[in-house]
Amino acid sequence: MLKRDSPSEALRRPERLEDPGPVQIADTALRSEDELEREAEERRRRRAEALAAMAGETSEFQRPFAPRAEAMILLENVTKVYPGDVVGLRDVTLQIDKGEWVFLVGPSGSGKSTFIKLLLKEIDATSGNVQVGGRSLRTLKRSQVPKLRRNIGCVFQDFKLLPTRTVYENVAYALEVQGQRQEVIKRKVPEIIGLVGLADKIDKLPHELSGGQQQRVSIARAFVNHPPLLICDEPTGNLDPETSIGIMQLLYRINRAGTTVLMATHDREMVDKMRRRVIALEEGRVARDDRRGGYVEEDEA
Amino acid sequence: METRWKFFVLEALKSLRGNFATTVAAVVTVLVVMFIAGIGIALGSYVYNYSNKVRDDVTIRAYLKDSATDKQIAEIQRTITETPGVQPDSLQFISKDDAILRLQEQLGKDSELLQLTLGNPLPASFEFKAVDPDQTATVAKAVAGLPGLDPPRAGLPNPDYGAGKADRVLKTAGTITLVLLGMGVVLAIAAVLLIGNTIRLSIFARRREVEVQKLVGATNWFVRLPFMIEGMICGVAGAIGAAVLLAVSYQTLLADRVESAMSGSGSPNAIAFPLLVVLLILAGLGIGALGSGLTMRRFLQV
Repeated sequence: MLKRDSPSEALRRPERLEDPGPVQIADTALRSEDELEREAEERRRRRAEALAAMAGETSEFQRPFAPRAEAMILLENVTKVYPGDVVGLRDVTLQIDKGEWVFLVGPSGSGKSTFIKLLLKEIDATSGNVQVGGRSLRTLKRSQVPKLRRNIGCVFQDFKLLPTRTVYENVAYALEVQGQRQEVIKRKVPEIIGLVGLADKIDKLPHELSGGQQQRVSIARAFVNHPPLLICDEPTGNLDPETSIGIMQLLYRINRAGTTVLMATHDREMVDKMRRRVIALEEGRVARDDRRGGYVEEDEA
Repeated sequence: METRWKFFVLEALKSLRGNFATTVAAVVTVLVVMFIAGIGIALGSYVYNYSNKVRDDVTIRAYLKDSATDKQIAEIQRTITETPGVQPDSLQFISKDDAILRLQEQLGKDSELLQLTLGNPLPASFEFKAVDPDQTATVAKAVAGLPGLDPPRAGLPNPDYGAGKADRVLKTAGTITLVLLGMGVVLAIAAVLLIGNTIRLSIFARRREVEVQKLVGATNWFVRLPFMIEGMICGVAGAIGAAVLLAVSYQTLLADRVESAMSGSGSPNAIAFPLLVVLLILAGLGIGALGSGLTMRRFLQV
């Protein structure tokens, strides 16, 4: 058995990327096109390296020959039909193991959102069985739904931060909602904010932060409970490529610490470079499920 | 637990400040409802006590002719004591002298006036009560028309037991109470709807927050409670306002008159003011909870 890092240790690794910092417009304006071109090239190279560093490392959770790992997510013949005969998912069967990192790709309307909503029990499957953490969501009582969601961290493209609350309050919110005591909140929140690299922004409001920083806050909020499952719906969709890398590294470390990460994304470069399991949806069906896939099927690429 | 309540109440207050105008409208409506309800309750309780008192305390008076003979008087007394349903120890003979003395007592310092009149105009009478106040009329009928009694005249029945006095009071008061109740119900519905509207706006203003709450696993009650408290704050604020208004208007408009009219002991009392305030606040809480509850059912899918 590999020694499993505690979540905090994994997050403290030195490989953490700080935000690139403010763009220096004045500088850029003075440079020649050649220089700009060279710099862009250099940035691309660094990004590729960073992604490659996170690529397909086979952890204990992902060994293909692993003896029947425990399922984090299990879908059996799941179909979701919305009112008006709009089909969200068609007969989907798949298993995602504990600790896995999975990309969920596919064009808009292919069923990614339906998939995520089913896991959170925002909607119920029309037929078939959905299990999260070994519990069947079909038989899960409504009163138990909040408990389910406390065990799933969620990160979204639009961050979903509360605009009138500071970074601290936004993260503390997730704990307050669960009725945690103030002592616990006061201890945990600054710790996790430090881990995502925003210790100096703790009293800032979301609009005072960059997009990447806001996404770090939302990751901190999602992870403050150390949930076993982290669902990310295009977490880098609103961010520039370099900022995205920082976010990906953060999520990567969270995954390394044992949290299952399911990420819906359109970011082709990221998927191609990281070489993780890719589940491609098309019109509600699983079109492809590669252990170490790319954004599109290899033959096409 | 204490910190959680603080959290909820702070959330509710924050949100009330957020849509101040609708909050004021809701509070004022509740205030009007509660003011009217307060008057209704006070009046109703007064009338109820008054009519009870009147009914329980009916004395039948049989007035005698001045010319009645001793034999006639003895016969009347015998008839009364033998009538079933008469309280045996309630029978009292009031002579002409007793009657004038009693009047003097009632008039107090104005009794000198009586000395100006010539002679004693008051008749002697028998006073008695029925065991069961509801049987008063039957009992009185048994005595009516006996020789030696003053014949009844228009407006002056004999025997006299204040027939219908309690009923008339009750009827008038009942009408007033009914009108107030009707207004109260209509206004209460308006108050519920207005509080509902306030809550709807605040749900709308905080939909993002609600989304996040659900996302991070807030229980349904955690999501609902701030809205619930918000509605109840509206209701209670209105009720307290109404209580203050009631107290002020009572003091300035009615207090003097009521005190002089009710100086005697044993006069009927309206509901105690502190109890009335408690009732109004409870009603305010109810209206607030109802308004927010109904709205949440429609607009807050949790």
